[in-house]
Amino acid sequence: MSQEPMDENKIKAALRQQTVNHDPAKEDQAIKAALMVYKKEIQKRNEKKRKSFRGFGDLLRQFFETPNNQGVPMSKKWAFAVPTLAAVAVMLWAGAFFGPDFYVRTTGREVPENIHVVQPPEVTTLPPAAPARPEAAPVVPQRPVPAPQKLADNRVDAELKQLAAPSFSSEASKSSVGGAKAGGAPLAMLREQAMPADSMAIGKIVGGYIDITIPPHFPGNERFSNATEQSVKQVAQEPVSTFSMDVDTASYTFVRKMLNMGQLPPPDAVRVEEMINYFTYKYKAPENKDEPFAATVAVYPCPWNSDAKLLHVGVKAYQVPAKSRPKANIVFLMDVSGSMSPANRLPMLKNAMASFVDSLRDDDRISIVTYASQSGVALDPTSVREKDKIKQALASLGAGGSTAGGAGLRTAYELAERNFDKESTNRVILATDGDFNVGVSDPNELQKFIEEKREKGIYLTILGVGEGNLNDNLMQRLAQYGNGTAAYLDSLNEARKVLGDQVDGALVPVANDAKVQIEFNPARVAEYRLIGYETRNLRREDFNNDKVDAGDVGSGQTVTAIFEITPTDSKARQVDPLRYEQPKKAEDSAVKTDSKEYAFLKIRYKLPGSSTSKLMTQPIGTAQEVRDAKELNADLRFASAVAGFGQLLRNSTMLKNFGYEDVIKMAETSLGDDTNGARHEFLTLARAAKTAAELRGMPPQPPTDSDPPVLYRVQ
Amino acid sequence: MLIPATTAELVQAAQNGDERAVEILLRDFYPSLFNLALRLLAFNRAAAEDVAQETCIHIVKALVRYRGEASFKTWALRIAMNCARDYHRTNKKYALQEPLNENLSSAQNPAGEDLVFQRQIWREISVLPDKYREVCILLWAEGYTQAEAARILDCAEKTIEWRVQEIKKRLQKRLKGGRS
Repeated sequence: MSQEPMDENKIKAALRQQTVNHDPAKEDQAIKAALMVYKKEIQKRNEKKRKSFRGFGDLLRQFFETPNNQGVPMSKKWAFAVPTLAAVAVMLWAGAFFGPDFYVRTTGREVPENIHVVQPPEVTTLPPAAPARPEAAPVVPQRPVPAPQKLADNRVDAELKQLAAPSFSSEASKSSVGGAKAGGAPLAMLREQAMPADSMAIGKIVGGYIDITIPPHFPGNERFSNATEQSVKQVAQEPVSTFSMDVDTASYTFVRKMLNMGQLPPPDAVRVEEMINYFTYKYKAPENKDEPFAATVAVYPCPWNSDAKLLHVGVKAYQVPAKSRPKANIVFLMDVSGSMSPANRLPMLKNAMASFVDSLRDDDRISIVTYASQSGVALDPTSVREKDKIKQALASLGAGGSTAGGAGLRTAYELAERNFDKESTNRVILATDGDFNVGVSDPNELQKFIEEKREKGIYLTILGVGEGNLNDNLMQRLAQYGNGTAAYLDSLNEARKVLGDQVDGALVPVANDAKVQIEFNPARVAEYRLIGYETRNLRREDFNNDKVDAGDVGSGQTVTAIFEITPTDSKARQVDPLRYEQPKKAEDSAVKTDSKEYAFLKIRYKLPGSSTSKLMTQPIGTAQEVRDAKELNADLRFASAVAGFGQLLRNSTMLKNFGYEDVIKMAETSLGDDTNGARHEFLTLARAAKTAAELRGMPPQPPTDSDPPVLYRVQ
Repeated sequence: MLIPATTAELVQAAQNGDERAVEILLRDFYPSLFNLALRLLAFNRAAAEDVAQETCIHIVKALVRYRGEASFKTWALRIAMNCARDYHRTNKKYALQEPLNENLSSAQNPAGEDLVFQRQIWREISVLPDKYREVCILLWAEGYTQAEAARILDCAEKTIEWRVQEIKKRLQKRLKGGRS
């Protein structure tokens, strides 16, 4: 070799020279096959885990049972029991030792933020968890509870952080079963107390920790924010209900997809208000865009509780005539990562977007930004006049690579900003099948970023496609921060509906930060319960605070809110009246409490571009009451059927004997014109749900204590 | 801004059941797996694709057992190596008699002389005993370090060094012989 040193280098160079590119189709095929195997492996593992440990008693029993099952003489039993007790004692000590600071000691790292440390002794003195708002973050004893206004933000942080940092769990949970047992006695209590109303806090209890990262779950890794059902409120104590308008429909389409697959949707995926709002109702329409809302109110008998009534508030937004709608400056941000390749993802989106482009006007502008491993501009801002160019760009999109959502979002906003036009509606439409999964270094920054752009007048719409990986929670949150809407597209039809039919609604906001407040008259209403809107609650004082963000409503959209109310004279009051309750003095209130009003509706909104809100009000009185359910118009009856259906799917405890059969009966008689077939489809879904519930062998029940703490389970 | 998760983070997520992480991991490493297989299987594209797929499946199955003792990449490549060996064993007909075909240097067309030399080298390598051939491909064709090769082949670094010497000796001898 030393004689001929050139030779070696030459050989290496010759060997290195060939570059052979692999075939992406084969790569996809290989990865698909591998993922299928992976799913099976995980399922197997989950089953094993479930079987492997049935409790301490079981272990002891196995220990004492001889193979021939004759038992062990008492003396021998003690021989076994003494070391066992010693072991338990050691474990107890270990549990104290492997406390939270053990993690810090051994790893030299701070306890990650998404793991809330709960030390057993402090847990026992935890006050009953009662978050100020149902959507509030989990109550963490060590940390001061952040100011309520920040709560929602914190939750997104947690969510984003969790994406950035893989959960600290399985390893630890295996290795520290002993530690978990050490805290063994208060284990059940721990779980109960550490998981307040909001089950974002759900997680494994590992030694002294509670891991609140959402456990991955198969099949399907969708994440849903899961707020508990709205509770029954007493008018005497809380006469006012305040919430943000919600025009999203993502929940209904997801539910539809699950039911069409023959499965009941996970209860947390059901947001009743979004199901109700999916359908169109013929509410009274407002006449001009300066007062963009008109309310249709009614009070009618409650289908699931004969002693209660439903108070129905239907709001219709001003329909901007198609000709006079402002120009649109739209940036499509397309996820083109490898997972978008199935027919119901990228190809479907491309198809729907092509017809969307057809429905636009010539002076609208479109650009396309893609993101996968890297983000790039697929189409620079192009006038819709050049349809062919746009369609060509669409057709050339292909899926491959991993996802880096944040970078893409930045590029998209930059593009929207560069072409910002005061006269236009400026909007980024993000289409994705999953989350921004390659990690977030600073979630605060991302959120701030979106909020900042919102201030500049750029809206954000999020379209979710596909199944198995959808991060519903993040989708919704980002849309809320970006003054936009989130929709789930389960089929080409739905994609066309959302993108095409609703061009005007989705494109032209007629009111921003729309909030609803209802004050009940204690003389007529004893108790009330808002159906749905769990994730949309606002505090009473938020209503008049223009800084508090709320829902945005587009042209012609309808929003429905339904309350279940218990009249003062009803036997059905769930909460006993107070013995020492002071009768209200009539002259104290603005209106005589014995008036014919049930409640007083207030809607606060900002006109687009304005930063101060306007208020509209309307009393809801006995004049709007329909006493006989048979006289109720089809729209209202249908909406209440959907409300019942949604609550059934959520395993609501408020429905008494009301079942899917009743939903079907109600819907059958309230189909109306149903020009788009949506109500007939609903009927099919209700039947599918009935069958699925029957097949499950039991009526829907709230999960019991023994259930593993997972976000939801697919049967 | 978003930054890519590290391989270690992805692996951990994958072990915890995150399907998405698995996909990213596999997509990251597929080209390396394929390329190694391709060279081990004498540029038989179809065979290499089969082996790469087989490797992906083995990786997800073995993921639970991966404890982070080696870097994920060398761990994955070791699996690819074993899959390629298995493939050899079961498909003798793909034996490496004539490793050179159109696949070779289809991308960059070297000058005639270089091409002849390349073919010659590959032919020489293909007749080396497996243990030498593998080292040759890992170090020279794929450009891994000796330490990495040692981990992929599950042997000591010294062994690799020794084999390299042996390869050089043999090649020199044969190339000289060929020329004369």
